[in-house]
Amino acid sequence: MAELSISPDEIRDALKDFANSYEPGAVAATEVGRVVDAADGIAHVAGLPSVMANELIRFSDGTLGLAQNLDENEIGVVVLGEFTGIVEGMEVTRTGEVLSVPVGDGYLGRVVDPLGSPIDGLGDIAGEGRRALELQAPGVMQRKSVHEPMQTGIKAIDAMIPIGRGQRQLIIGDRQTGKTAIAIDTIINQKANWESGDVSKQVRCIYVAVGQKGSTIAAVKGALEDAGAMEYTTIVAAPASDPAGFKYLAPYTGSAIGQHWMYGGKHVLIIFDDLSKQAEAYRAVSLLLRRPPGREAYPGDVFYLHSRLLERCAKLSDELGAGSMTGLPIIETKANDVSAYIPTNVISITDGQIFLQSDLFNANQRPAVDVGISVSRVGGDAQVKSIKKVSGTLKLELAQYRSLEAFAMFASDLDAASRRQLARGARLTELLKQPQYSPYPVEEQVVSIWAGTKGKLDSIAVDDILSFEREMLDHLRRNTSILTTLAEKNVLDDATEAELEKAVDSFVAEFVGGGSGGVQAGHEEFDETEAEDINQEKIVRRKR
Amino acid sequence: MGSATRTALAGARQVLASTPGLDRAAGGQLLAAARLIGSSHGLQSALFAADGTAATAMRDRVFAELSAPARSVLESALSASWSSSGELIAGIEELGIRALALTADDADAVARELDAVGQLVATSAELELALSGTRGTPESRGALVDRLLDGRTSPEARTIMSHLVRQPRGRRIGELVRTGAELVADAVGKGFATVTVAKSLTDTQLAEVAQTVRERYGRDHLLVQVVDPSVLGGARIQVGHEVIDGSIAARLTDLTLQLAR
Repeated sequence: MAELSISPDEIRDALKDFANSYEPGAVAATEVGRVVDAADGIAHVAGLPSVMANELIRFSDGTLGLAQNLDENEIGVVVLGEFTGIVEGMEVTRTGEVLSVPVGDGYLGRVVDPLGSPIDGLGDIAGEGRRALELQAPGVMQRKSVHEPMQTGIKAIDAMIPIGRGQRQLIIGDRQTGKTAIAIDTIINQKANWESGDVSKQVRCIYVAVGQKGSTIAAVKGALEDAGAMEYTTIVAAPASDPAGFKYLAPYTGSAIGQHWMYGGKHVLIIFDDLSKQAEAYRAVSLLLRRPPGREAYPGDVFYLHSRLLERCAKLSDELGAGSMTGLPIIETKANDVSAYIPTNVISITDGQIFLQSDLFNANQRPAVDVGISVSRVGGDAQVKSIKKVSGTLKLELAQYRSLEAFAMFASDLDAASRRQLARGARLTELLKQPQYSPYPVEEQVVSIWAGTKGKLDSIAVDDILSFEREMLDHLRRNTSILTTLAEKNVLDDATEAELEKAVDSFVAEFVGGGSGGVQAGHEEFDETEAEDINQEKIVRRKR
Repeated sequence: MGSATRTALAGARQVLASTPGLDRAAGGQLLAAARLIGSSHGLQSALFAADGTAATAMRDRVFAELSAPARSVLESALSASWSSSGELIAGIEELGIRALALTADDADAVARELDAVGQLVATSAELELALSGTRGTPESRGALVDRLLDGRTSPEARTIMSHLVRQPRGRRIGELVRTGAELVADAVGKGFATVTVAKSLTDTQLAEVAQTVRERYGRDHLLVQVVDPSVLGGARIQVGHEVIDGSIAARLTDLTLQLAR
């Protein structure tokens, strides 16, 4: 291979041409101000009397800033980027632009920073226009009730805490309880929809990482790539090392990218991972801007910070193209305290919440969804008919199981009915376990839950439940057309149910538990020899 | 600035323009009155709130030493309603500076002198600190300015500077000087513009710049020329908070930013 050599003269000439091609444009009058002080990513600027709230302003070294506090004599500016070069007396000019990001389909499969610039080294992104970060959420007349399902592929959620397209469902729990895992599984579960090529089914996904470790974001990206889910996903990354200003803006950037698709009549899923870190970043910015602190030192408008963000997740009316944006905000609690300031705020804004309990997680119940206190306020209307039919009794039986379980801890002498209830509950709980990155299609969820609630699993040992389920689904897939019928019709009618009952009963009869389900080593059996058949050898003294 | 302040200020300006016998002393007395009111919170609230005969009696006693023209201007300001007491003080200060500008032999020269003082202060950090209001008493700051400017500038410029450093009301020295110069220029119907160039402009070039600024802002401007070799070429014109930057230095910075991108 020939070595690449460019003579310095050539480089100089090229640069000269570049400089010649520079057009300064007509000299226009711009407002200027001067930096009064700068520290910790915040600068105060005197002058710029007609600056707008949230306007981008430019420092003379090219760094951008966001005008936040408009006071009588000076403005408080959040510096977006490196702030070590900003010194007192530096000149600051207006740009006349309110903060906006480029948007469009070019963002699919990309990793971007909160200003919308790519950080994955895959080159520039061709945008379809720009969208301001702070735009009003759709009004009452522009909305429609949530009625289409957003399948997460997780049995416990799709059956009991269903999510609809356009809903805001909070995922809340302590650290290390699998909050991100639920979000990632939901993204992966949209793969079949994406491959169908049908715009009414396709869901474009946005994962907003706020204050996460760089390694975590890389792991999420790796998992999505391995599952082939990255081609319909955008990651907006504001890792822990970013300045507070970036972390505070990242969710709005993700939302702006998603709103563009929503108003284009498409379906969007956006995950804010996590909003407690965004609130902390906003608290840092606000305190540095000298805004008065309130409860837990958060500023007074921290509720508005989240409410205006989540209000932009909506299901649009038919006149506006019936697009939707489903929001899955994540909140991290400390020591399972959901009554802290930020968790209560976000719980009251969202349409329901999925509680993850560290106790359940440690007891190997994964996903660690506490179905007792998790709710979905609007998702019921959006649930697929077939799963709605089978999951009706599930929640009830689990509730009875939990209350009975508490009694059974102290009393071992139980009547047969209670024992049966306990056995059923243990099996149903076991059935809701599901490994990570393995979302279930809705028809398989229907069959599994139907089998559980109809008592088909009662004869199977608790340890064998998951292997039984796996093999039963495999059996149905190979030998019957029930799963395809369910997938096409989404209704569990009497004929299908009868067929299902027959197939499952026959499979239960021939299922052999014990983990492997293969051929077991046998043992020989013999009848006892009759007494008369037994001859005893005798020592006889012979006479001589 | 509230709308009440705007109305009150417009009224007081008219009274100022029509007051007979206005002289330099009257301007100085108005500035002194502004300082007096500013230094006493009790007086401020009494003047701001009170009305009627008792209030008139109080004003008569407090401002007995003022000359008749100064008294009539002050009376017109005090009888109007203002948005806040802070704006009342700012208004009286403005009236004082305007009175000095109107009675000066050459108001343009006064504005130029004020601007020159600003540039002088900017070159000496020690002086800037001394005048910035964090060191010394108002009186000592005023005495410093009086001593430095005595005989070197017109008495009007000295009185205005001396007043401004005694009562900065939270403003930095650069802003103080600029406000003063702009008020003086405005009193004689002109705007105030600073032109920064690498080499002194010829009279023709200055006339061209003056023409450009007049077309853009709709009135004559007092042009103050600053020679700064670091702009390399072209000109940078600053009017109030606005800058028309056609200098070579600005274009080079712009180009550097584009190359860095």
